Amino acid sequence: MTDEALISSKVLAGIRSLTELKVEFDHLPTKGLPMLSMQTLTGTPVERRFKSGGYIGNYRFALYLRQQAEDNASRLDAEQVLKTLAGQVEKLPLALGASIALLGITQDTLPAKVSSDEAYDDQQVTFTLKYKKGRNHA
Amino acid sequence: MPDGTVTPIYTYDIQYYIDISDTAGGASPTPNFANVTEDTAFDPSREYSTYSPSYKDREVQPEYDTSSKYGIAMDVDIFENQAFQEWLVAHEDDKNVPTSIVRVWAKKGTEQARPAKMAAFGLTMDPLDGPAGEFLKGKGKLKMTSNGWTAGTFNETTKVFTATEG
Repeated sequence: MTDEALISSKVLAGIRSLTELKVEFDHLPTKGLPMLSMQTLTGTPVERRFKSGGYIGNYRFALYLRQQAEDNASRLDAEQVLKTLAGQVEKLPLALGASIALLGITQDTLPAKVSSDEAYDDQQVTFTLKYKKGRNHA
Repeated sequence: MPDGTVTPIYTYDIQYYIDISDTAGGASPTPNFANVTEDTAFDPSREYSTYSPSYKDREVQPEYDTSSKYGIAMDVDIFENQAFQEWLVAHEDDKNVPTSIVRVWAKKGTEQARPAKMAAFGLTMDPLDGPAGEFLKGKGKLKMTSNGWTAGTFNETTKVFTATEG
């Protein structure tokens, strides 16, 4: 399993432990709402390499909340749900394995609507998980 | 390995160990070697003195390298609970801190006897600093104080250097 696959599976499990809502990976159905989805974002995975081996890596991901939102109040509620969840995600105590040390998860963007349809609204918040990979990765 | 492929040697195939025992002379009878890690720079360089005679009978004048100075420029991310980094932090304001460095070929030989060489160095740190919101950096220079390197082997398990006899 690649580092990114390992990290995304651990993050997904971590987010699922924080909420009673269903959390999908890379998939947002239109039925069974409200629902969350986690998605890996593009970006340079290695922030900097060390001469002695190992590196500081970034894993960027987004969390979407899809819900049927008919009025302003419910849309504000959705934003608040994501805001609260984002705060909890930043404090997730993830164990990423022997050679990967978690340095922290930070929220990169505020919850905001990214798309909508007649039947639903999608709110998104993005994060960066920073980690340190040990020397013996080669 | 398939024919036609070659394996490069990477920077991490050379590992540096530094004596953090803080005993005088950089030649402690009981050195405490810590692996140099989280180093965005650990760059050795050699600066030569030259002898440039001007001979009347020659059109092209020779120049000879004579003595040299050997230094290592260092740039290390500071992490908690790492012996090497904590030693750097402890010596932020000191000059010429005596130590020894062992350079090890990390994939050659066996874990108990890697080809290596050791020399005495003095460490002088720059003030600890870093960009806003980023990691604290330990920067500084290590200058060789011994008369060159001593060849030998290094046991990566026990962290003991053994000089080659003869």
